[in-house]
Amino acid sequence: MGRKRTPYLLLVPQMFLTVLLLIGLITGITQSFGVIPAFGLTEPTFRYYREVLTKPDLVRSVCYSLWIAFVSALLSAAAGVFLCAVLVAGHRTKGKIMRIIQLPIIVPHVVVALFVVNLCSQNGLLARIAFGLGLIGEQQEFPMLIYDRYGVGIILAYLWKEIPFIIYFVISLMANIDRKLGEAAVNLGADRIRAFFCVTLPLCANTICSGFLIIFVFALGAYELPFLLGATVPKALPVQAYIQYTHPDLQNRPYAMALNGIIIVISLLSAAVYFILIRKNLKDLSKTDS
Amino acid sequence: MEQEYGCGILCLNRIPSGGPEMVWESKEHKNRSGLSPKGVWSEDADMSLKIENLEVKLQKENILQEISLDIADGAFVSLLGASGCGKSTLLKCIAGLLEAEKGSIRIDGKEMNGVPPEKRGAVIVFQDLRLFPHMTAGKNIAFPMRIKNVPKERQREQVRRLLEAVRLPGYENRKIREMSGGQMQRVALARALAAEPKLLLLDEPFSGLDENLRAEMGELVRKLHRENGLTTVLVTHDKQEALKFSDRIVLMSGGRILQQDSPREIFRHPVNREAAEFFGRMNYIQSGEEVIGVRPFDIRILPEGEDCMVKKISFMGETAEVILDTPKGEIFCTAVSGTLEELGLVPGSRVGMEMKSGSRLSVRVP
Repeated sequence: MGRKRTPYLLLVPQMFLTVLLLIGLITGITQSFGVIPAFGLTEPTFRYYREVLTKPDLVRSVCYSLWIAFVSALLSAAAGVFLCAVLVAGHRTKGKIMRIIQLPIIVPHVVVALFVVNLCSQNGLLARIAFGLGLIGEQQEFPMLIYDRYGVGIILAYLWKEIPFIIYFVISLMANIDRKLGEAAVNLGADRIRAFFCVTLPLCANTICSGFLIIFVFALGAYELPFLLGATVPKALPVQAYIQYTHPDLQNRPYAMALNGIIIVISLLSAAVYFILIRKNLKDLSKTDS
Repeated sequence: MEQEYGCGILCLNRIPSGGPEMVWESKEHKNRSGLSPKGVWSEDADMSLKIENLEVKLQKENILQEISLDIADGAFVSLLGASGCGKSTLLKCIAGLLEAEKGSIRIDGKEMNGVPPEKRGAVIVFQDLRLFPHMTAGKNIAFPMRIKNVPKERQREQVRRLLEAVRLPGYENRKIREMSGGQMQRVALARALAAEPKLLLLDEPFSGLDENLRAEMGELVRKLHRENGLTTVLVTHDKQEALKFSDRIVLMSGGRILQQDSPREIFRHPVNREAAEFFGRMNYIQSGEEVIGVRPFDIRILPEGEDCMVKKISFMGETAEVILDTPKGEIFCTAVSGTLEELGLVPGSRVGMEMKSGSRLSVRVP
C-alpha cells in the first residue's frame, strides 16, 4: 500500500508547482482576452491582441524581441558548435578546460549586463582603448553598441552567456559521435573536415536545434538584459509588457497580458518542436546503441 | 586419420628462465613449409603488410611491444588472443587511428609513418559496426565512394553489386534502425568493401551474433575473401573461428606476439604452455627428464588394462570429458561420448590408456 502511494507523494511538489503555473497561465490568458471582472471588464474580446499586433510601436516591439532572440540563439549556436568542434578535434572535452568554459553559465544575467556596459558603452573600456590608441577622435565616435536599435549590446551579453551553454549542451554527444562514427568516417577515407560535416554534425543537428530553441525562448521572454541594455525605442516585448502591467491606468492590464500571450504562444510552439526533436533523438540513439 | 591427428604430444624442456619452452618432436615440424598456405611466409612473396618492432603506449602504459608481423598479399590472417591482449589496438594502429611510439608499418611496401588514416587504405569493420544512423543502408555503402567523388551512376551500381555480394539485394533504401544485427553486419562489411581497401581489418565483427549467424557471417567473409583475394586481418578471441578461417594465426598475449603460424602448426606446435593452453586444456606428464604436453583428445582410453581408474565423466553431447586417475596423476581426456557408452564406462571403472601417436615419438605410460 505504502509503496503504491510513494510515487504520488513524490510527485506532490511537482504537481503543486504545475498547478501554480497553470493558475498563472490561465489568469494571464483570460486577462489577455479582456476579462478582468475587478476592473469592470467582463466581455471577452480579441481587441487587445488585434491592437498589439497592429499598433506600430507594439509591432516593432514584437519584431525587436524576435530579432534579438533569433540572432542571439543563431549566433550562440553557430559559435558554440564551432568551438565544440575545435575542442573535440583537440580531444579537450573533459576536465579543467570544460570547467572554465562553463563558468559563464553560472554568472547572473544582471552581472553580464554590467560587464557589457563597462566594456562596450561609449564610456566603456573598448571606447577608451580605441581613443587611447588614436583610432577614434573622441569617445563619442565609438559605435553605439548598447542602447541601440539593433540590440547589439543585448545580443553580445546573450552570446557571452549562451555560447558556453551550447558547448555544455552539445559537447558530450559530439565527442561521443566523433570518437566512434567520426573515426569510422575517417577510416573509410574521409578527411576530418568531411567526416565532421557528413557525419558528426548531421547527427548532432537535433541537439543543436534543441539548444537553439532553449536560448531563443529564453531570450524572447527574459526581461533583465533588454531592460538594462536595450534602446528606449523600440522596447523588447517583456519590457513593454512590464510597462503596460505597471501602467497607472489599470485598463491597460489586458495589453500586458496580450503581449505575454504572444510570448507564451511562441514559447509553446518552440517547446513542441523541442519535444519532437528530443524524442527523435532518443529514438535514434537508443537504436544505434542496441 | 591417425597420421593427421597423430602428433598430440608436446615435449617441454625445462629452461632456467622459468617458463618452460615447448619443443615439438615430430616429423611435421621439419616439414613446416610444406604445410604453409599460399606464400604466407615465403620470403619472396609480396608483403601486403609488414610491421617491424611496433610499440604502442596509451596513457603511459605499454599496450603493444615488439610487434613484428608480415602478412602476404591476399592472405587471411587472424589475430587471436584473450580480450585486452592488444589485438584491437594493433588493428587501430595499422589503420592509423592510433599512433605508435616506435616501429614501422608498411602497407604494400609503403611506409605508413605520417600517413593520415584516410589515406592508408586499411579499412576496419568495427566491433560496434559504426553504421551511420542518419543514412540508409545504400547511403552507408556509398559513403566511401561519395568521399572519392565517384560518379552517382557508378555508386548506385556498386551499391547494388555489394548488397548482392553480402546477400542483401534490394536493401538500398532500408533505414539502419530497421535492420537486424546480422543485416547490419553485412552492411558494415559491404561499406568497408566499397572503400576498396588494400587491407580489410575485421575487429570481432561477429561477436554480437548468435552462433548460427556467426558461422554464416564467417563463411560469407571467407567466400568474399576467396573471390576478391583481399588481404584480410580478422581480430577474434574465438579459437574455433581462427582455426577454421585463417591461412595463418597470430597468437597474442599481454601486448606481444606469442606465435604466428598456420592453424595446424599453431595447434600442433605451440611454442610454450600459454600458446598450447589457448587452444584448449592440456595434460602435462613427467617423463624422465622431460615434461610432456598432451592434448585431451590425444589420449585414448583402452578397455583392457588395470592401471587407470575413471574418476569422473562429464557428458557434453557429442563428446564427453573424462578424468582418469593414473599412476602419473590425474589426466584429463576428451572422447566421443558414443565410444564411452560402447565401452560401458562408469566412474570407478578400471581402464588402460595410451597416447594416440602417429609420430616416431612414443610415450611410455607406466
